[in-house]
Amino acid sequence: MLKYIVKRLIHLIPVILIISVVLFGLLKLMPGSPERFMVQCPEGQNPEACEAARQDYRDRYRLDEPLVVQYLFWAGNLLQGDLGDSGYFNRPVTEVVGSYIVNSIYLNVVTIVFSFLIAIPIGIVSAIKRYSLFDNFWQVFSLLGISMPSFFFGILLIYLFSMQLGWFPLSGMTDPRTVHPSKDIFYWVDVLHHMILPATVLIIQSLAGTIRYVRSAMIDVISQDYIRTARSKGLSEKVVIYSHAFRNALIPVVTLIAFSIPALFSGATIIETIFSWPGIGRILVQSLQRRDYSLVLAMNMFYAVLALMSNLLMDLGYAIVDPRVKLN
Amino acid sequence: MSKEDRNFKNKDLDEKELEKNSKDKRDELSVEEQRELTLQRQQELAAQERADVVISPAKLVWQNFKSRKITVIGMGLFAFVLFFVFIVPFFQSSPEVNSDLRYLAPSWEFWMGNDAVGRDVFARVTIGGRISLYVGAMATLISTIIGIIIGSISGFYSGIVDNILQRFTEVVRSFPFLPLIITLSAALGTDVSEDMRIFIVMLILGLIGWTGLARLLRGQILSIREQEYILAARAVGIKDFNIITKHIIPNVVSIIIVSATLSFASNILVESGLSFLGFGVQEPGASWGLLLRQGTSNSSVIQNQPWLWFFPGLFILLTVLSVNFIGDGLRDAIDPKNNAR
Amino acid sequence: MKKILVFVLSLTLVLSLAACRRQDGGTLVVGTTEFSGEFIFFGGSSSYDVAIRDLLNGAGTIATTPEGQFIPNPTTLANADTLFDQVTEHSNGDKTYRFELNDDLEWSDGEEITASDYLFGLMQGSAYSMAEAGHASLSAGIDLIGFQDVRDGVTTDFAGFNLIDEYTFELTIDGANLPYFYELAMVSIAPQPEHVYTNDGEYEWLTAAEHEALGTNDTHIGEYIRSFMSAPPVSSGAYVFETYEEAQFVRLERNENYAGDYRGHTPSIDRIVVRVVPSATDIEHLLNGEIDILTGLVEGNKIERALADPNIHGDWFPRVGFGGMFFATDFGPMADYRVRQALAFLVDREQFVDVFLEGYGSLVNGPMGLGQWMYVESDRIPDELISYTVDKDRANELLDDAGWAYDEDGNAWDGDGYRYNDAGEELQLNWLGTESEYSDLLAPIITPNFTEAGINFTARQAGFDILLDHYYYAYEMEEDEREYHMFNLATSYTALYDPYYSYHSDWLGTTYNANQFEDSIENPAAPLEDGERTVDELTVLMRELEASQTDLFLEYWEELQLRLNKLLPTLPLYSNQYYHFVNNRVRIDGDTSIDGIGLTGFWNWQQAVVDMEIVED
Repeated sequence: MLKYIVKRLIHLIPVILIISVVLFGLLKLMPGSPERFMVQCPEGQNPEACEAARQDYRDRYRLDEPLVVQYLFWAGNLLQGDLGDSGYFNRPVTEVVGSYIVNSIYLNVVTIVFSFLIAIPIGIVSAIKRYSLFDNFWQVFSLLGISMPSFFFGILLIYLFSMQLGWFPLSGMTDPRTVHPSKDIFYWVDVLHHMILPATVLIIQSLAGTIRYVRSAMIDVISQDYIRTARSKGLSEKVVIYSHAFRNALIPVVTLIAFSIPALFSGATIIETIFSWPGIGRILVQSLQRRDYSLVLAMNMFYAVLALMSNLLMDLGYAIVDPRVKLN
Repeated sequence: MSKEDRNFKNKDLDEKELEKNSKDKRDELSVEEQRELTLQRQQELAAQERADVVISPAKLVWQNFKSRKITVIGMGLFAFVLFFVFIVPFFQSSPEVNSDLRYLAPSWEFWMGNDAVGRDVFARVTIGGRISLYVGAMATLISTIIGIIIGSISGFYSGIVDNILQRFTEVVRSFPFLPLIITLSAALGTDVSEDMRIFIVMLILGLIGWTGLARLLRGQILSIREQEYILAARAVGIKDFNIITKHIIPNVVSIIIVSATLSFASNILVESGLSFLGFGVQEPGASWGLLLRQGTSNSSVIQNQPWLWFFPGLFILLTVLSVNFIGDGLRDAIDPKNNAR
Repeated sequence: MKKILVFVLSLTLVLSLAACRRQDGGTLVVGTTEFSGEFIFFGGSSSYDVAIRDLLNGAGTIATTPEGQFIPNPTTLANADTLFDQVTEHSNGDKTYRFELNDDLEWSDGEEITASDYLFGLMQGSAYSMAEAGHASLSAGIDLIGFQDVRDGVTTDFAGFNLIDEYTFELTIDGANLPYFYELAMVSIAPQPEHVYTNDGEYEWLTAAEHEALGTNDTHIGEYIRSFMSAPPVSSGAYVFETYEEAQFVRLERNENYAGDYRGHTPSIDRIVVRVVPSATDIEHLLNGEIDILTGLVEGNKIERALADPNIHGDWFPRVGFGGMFFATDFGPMADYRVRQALAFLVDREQFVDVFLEGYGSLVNGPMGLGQWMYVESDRIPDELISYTVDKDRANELLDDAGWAYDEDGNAWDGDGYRYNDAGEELQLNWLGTESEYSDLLAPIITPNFTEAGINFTARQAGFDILLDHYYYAYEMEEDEREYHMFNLATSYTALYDPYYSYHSDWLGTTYNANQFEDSIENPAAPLEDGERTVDELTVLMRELEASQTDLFLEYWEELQLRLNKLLPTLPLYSNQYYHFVNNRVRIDGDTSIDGIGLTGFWNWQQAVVDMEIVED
């Protein structure tokens, strides 16, 4: 097992390398020179002074050196934990994105918790009562959930519950007027109040896939020989389900929860944009629109590494969970 | 990697189910599973020989498929969408800018109202539909083809080739998709025409989306290749070609079809999402996502002119839903558990 | 299942109660689009943080009035009335201004504001150390003697600043930059807290050589100052920084030690919260009462909703600037002013203002802003300008005159197809707009008319950085790389209006004269009529006046506008009405009969806040 992990980790290195090169190259492809965008030349200022300022910028970010050198410089810094400065914010990337990631995490945690809380019982019952009305209803619901474009759903909710009914706020994370001196209970209630609509969209989307997965896992378990054996032994259906099937079905479900953990750090771009939730997804899109190269590059690398780790976890998870599965 | 806008996560889960149903998680199968599968296939073979007729799995699948209500609804819905997008426009003229007709609510003359510059929304939705469907279909085609090629090569040849392709697959899979497409979209900028831009969007979607199918195929082919019944068939003297066409391909084809269908639905959603953010199709073109973007530009528009965003959104939903219904039905139809019971 | 329902219901109940949390009286909530977190003068370009910086910085030597005039600041200077009498003119053309500070100026922490703080502020905007820390555009005191040496790190002694005593100093303007109509702006500096930013003398300004000698782990003064960027510890302005929640809000408290603005007015509002609200939903927050002030509204649908709401009052001022089509006057068919005029006669600008601004704007016929004092006081402008309404016959005439009179086969153009000139080139024009609603709306409006007049016209959109390259840096491109003839842009003027940079041929081949426009005596863009002067001449005449010669300035400006109106380096399309809306509980001087808060193109809410009162809690 350990050997496998180490082997996979070693294999990750060339992968990360390639991704970093491609991402870097991609951003270098972007037209326009950042120093022209970032360093404004106000009228009245000597244009030579302005060009000098722009040259300063180029020197600081090493934009004149050959691409290979630039890449190595950037990669070297990355390995030391220096993600560079955001061109737009003029501050270190780590300083800027910290609070945004935290805001996204709030949303994601609520989403994951609720979607699993709801999906697990529904999935299990669906599996038990296969092809019943209950099952069919939730099957259709799931399909609806994954077919619904998130932005459409979000706008619908805003239109109905925010604009027409006024139950929930339109955007943002907290009430603009209220001043929360500290993160007390009122603060969290305010945040939750703002979170309901965006979280609803995310939860329903997440529910769809999760319900089907849980249902499928449960069906697998139910159709196993040992369940048939338990039944034929005369045990009540309740015992069969809850003590035998349920526990075993939980195993793949738990692994699914584990897989979702890396996703906690990413931001739901579209939802965050619609609801103006100050999260990392939104800042990423804004940075791309603003051509803030350093921030985009740093965050992309972070997510690529996150994705790779998550894949690794997934594969490991399968291996641990199912003893019948052998690894390479 | 962000959850909802890749829309691959749900597809991922579906594919995992497919994988599980195909009894393959890794390169090797456990002994019990192999035995069960072999038993099944032997029974099938025996039945086939008795009947002296080759019952194509396809026919079995089709019967299963037809019997489910959901899939029939799905097909009907999709037919409606196609009709709406392709047939109806023949009776329509292209939408013109007319500043006297701006922001009109739906009426008998303009069924879906008019937009910010006076164009007929109904017409825009049909045009947008064509482009959205086109992009989705082409992207699916590209990703399916690439997936088949890479998956099969990986499955047939083990060793170095397989290893390299595996790593390559992993690289592509881990790519942060959204920044990639936005960056590319921005990098191309204005030097390309609208058609070119649409083509590039579709190309990128296709180039990113093949990894799921490749992995599936690889696993499937690997497992089939080592089956006892294949070895037995070989030993008996059936030609390789027949083995491939009668046993490997039918199993694989069904997986491909299901994957492609789900992929189609997913691609439509992703393209809409991209256009909604402003990185996909842009003016003067149209796509449902772009129409939604224009219809939600600020809160006053959302509130006062809901027809601008409601109809494009509704159509995206209907289309994707119908395709997913069909895909789901297909998948259940080929599920051996269904057949066995 | 039931339990879940109960839980959900009670949760909803609790959450709706949360909305009724106690509101803070004495707090003003202002909406803004975003922050980039730069609350001290550090050289960023983000305009969103300007309001915060303005609120935290006062005691400047020169103030700007709501009408856009520069005057000596009497709250800062004891000798404000006699400033001009105390100016020394040297034989080499240099001018020295003497500043005598009032002795009661204080920082928010109680420390005195002295003359050396002004030197520190000057250095913070010009020193080499700041460039080392990433300060992008250093231009404080750029017109004083000795600036370049300080900027380059040759010395840390600013020659143009002479410290006389604790409350007195002198600034000397380099004679090479004079005469200049806006001379007073050259000596406009503000203090920065030396005791805080040097950590009581621990840090010092360094020369370039001294920077070389530093180790990589040594913090220098530039970096030390930078560390305060998002949390300025002391203030000389009306308010003091309290806290900043990234991407959400900034909170400020009233500065008890504030001496007042240039009229001596101090604020009565205890606390200001500047809140990020997305521009897509900002009007909702205003109408909900969640924010008190929203400025810079131009969209008709938002404006109308606000006007209709009884709980909101507001007003508007004409934009000091305009939006329009900026031509690349050195490229292809654009080089001929008649072609440009023809285009002007083909664009239905009225329709555009109607559609786009929904009536909340006006047409301008030249590169001016309706809020500029010259426009307000002029009798000749806009009456004598050509008004460029749609006139297809005229347009076709002009295009014929300019030589685009042929069709594909060399015969006279008859109205079908595209126009060609006698060299067989097609009249093809490409337009680049930004990715915005404006461009979406404009393209379908102008294309039909252009095509009908025989122009092969394409409209494209791109991000602003691409626009930068193709417009401002077009002069760096090879001829065959260039693609676009016109650009959809907008510009706003400040109180310092100096068209020299934008239109004078001295600036060809730079980003300032981005139109690459030339109307010089050697090379007039159109034949000069009797008494007409070139743009080159006029722009120089305008700027080389004494500050008191406003009548002459107005005359030259009128001539300039007439000439530019003929030559059209830019076709203005619209000048907005900038609306601001305020909750009824916030009033100027507590007077409920006054609508709006008296904003102008030069006087924003952060300047008006000292006059605002909250009339009810």
